[in-house]
Amino acid sequence: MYGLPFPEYLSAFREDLIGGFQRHMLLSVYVLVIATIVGVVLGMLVYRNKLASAAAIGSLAVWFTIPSIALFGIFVPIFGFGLGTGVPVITVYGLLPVLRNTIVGLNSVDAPTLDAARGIGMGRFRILWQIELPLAWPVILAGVRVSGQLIVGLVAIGAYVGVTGLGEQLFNALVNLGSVNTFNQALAGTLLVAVIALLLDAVFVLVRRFSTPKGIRV
Amino acid sequence: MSESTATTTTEGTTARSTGASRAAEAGGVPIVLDGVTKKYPGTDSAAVDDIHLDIAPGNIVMLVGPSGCGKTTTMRMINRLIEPTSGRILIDGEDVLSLNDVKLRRTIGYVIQQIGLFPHLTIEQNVAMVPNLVGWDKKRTASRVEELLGVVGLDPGEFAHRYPRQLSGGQQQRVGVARALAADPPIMLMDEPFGAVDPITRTKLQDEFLDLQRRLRKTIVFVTHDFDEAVKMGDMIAVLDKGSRIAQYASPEEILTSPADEFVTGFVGHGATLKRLQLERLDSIELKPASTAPPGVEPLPDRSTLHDVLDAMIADGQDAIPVTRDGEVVGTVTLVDLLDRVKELRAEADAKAGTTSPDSRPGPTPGTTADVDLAAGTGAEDQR
Amino acid sequence: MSSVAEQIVTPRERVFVWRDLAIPLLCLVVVTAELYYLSQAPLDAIERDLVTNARIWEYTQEHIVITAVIVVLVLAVAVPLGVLITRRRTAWIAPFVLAFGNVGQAAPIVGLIAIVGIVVGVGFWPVVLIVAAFSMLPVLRNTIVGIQQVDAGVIDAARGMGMSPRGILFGVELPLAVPIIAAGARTSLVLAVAVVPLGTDLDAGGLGRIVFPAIKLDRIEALVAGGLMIAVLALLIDWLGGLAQRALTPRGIR
Repeated sequence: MYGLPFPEYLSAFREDLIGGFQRHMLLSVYVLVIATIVGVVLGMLVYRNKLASAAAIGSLAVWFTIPSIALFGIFVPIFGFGLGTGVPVITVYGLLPVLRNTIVGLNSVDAPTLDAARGIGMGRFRILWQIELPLAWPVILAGVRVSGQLIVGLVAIGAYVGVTGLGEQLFNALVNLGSVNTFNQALAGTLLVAVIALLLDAVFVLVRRFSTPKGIRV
Repeated sequence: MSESTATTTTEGTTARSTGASRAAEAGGVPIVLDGVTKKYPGTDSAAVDDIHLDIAPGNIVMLVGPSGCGKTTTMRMINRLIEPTSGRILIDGEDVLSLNDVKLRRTIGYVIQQIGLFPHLTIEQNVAMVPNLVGWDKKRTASRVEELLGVVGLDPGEFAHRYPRQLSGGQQQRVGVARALAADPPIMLMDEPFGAVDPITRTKLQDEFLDLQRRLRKTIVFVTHDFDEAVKMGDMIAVLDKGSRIAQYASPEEILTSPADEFVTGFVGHGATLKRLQLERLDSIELKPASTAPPGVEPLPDRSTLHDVLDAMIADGQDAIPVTRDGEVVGTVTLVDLLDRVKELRAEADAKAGTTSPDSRPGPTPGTTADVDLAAGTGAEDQR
Repeated sequence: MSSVAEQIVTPRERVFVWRDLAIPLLCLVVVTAELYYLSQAPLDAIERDLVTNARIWEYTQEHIVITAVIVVLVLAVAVPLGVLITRRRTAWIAPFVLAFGNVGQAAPIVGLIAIVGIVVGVGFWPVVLIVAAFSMLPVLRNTIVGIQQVDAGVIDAARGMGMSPRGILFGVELPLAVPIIAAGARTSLVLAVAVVPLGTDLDAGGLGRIVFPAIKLDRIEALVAGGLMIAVLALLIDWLGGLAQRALTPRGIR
């Protein structure tokens, strides 16, 4: 099961690995973008209503508690194997951190500040756009960051219902334990997924640095 | 005037005895800080700089000063929450550094501004903490808790089984004081204990605490940034300056009348004379006959401080107010007499400034007119 | 995962309220419906054998046992480590321990399981140990945060009145940190339930034994059944965890 020495394995299967890496990265980013947009918009719609916020977060929390394997399996009959099931299920998982942080962030602007804004005649939308959103941005970004990590991991697990990406390598290694090169497969897959996760995280650190309004940069 | 002075002098000497006989009645022990310094590594200036303090048993000593002057640090070195860089601290003659620090703290009552009640324990369990630590039996602890809750004004039946979050800030701090008193320590350290409550509650807590101390006579080191609180509560006041040194260590009266240097003067602030009047009672003034009392003016009891008298005069727009003793009008106090008294006090202060050294020694110099100040000072305290 | 503060259950006096039965009831309904459906559905021999009530019950028990062992391990290791990190003298271990925890999160658990399976071998303990290592971070982080958030004034009062350092740890810091640690344990529990099926190929047991064969044999009914059972198990265990969290919170701060 050890097969080739690891460096040789890497060069021998380079194309497969790079292909898998790209697919995994692209899919993760794709899902993250959808989850972020939906999460932020949903958050902007419900944040001012306590009941709606609680309902939204509550239902997502139930989804969140259910293991991804279970949800992937449950939705296969409906959406079929592969990305059809993978994308919706992973997106919903990715929603919770973003939505929760959006709601918390938008509500975190303190009452006196809001009062002042209304007092000088700013309309609801302007207040949201120019005051609440910029102030909530670091918190929202933190949520998106958590979602990103989550999604990268879930794309790997989704391989078992046919979601393409590095997960395929990993499940191959898992189900064929003992065959040649499984160790290399597992190691390569694990390392590369970790690299994606860390890269994504690093991007967020940069994004946060450059997009946080100066006045509240910690 | 001189007769009353003589009377009050006698009263003064008996009312406030010398340190030695005080110790006999005191529930506290003496504390000595000898050249205590605290310097944190990497900083140029000392947090506490060469403090010498002789704290007589049964006294409340106030540590006052601006923020950063080291008053809290000094206090926390007494129970070794902070270790001094140099110098000695002696409690009842023993060097605190020679004792086990954890055990030492169980013999010292500790009350802080944030109160710090254990939120997960009932009031009863909070107060019983130190007795449990030192191993009292359950019965003794239980009755002690009940007794102390009563002493601080909380009905044990109602409060013993509650949790801190169910109490108001004032109630919580009462529990904090009860907790500190639980094992009957001879010394107490209090760091702005009444700072976290509203001014009305704070006054109440201060008055009640002074009542308590009158009975218990523990040695208390009390940190505050509020000079008025220091004047009200302290037997002695140590003013620390920005260099974390003691600028003056003296009785409240002395600090008000003869501040040692510009810093103390500045710290005391304007209105020192007015504050001084809080320490004087009407019995230090010769009253005019009752017949001269203006009609229809609200009288004041003879236990009132001169500060209250002046306040009433201004409020009522009167320059004369009838004075009562035990409910009967016995005389009249006039604005002129009051101002004369102030002049007398200033003269005494000036005289003293010529005879005493700048770094005031603790306690008065017996035989001087300072006794009069002391008597009046005692009177003002007893009035509460 | 969720930030520490968001995991705290809303403060409530009583541990159990009728409203709490919603989740268990929902689970009961789902399970009953599914089992009934399975008994009626036209399944072929292979599939039917895969989802017999006996198997489902057996695998569920296995799953619970593995999860329980994992969480006990996690608590036994992560809480003491977390405490050590908050003590001044041993705080230097923090970067190492936290780095280990964070790497555990970035690396995909499937990969880790595969590696362990190859290097160490199959069986109960390889799966338990690797999943435990993977699930440490929530409890570790929450232990640290839980202890650090204890009010500084309370700690100062405890020190000042003469409580020994050990007395303060066990009498003040830990009791007050329990709600937050419990929240972390709950997260770890759900994580373990979710990840154990991935170890099916290492023969550890659990409901993965329905799900993975179902995928390999392309038996969708069984796949859905297995998925539903895992989902229900996760919800129930989370629900129990919530009750325990509330019950373990000292009354004074509930």
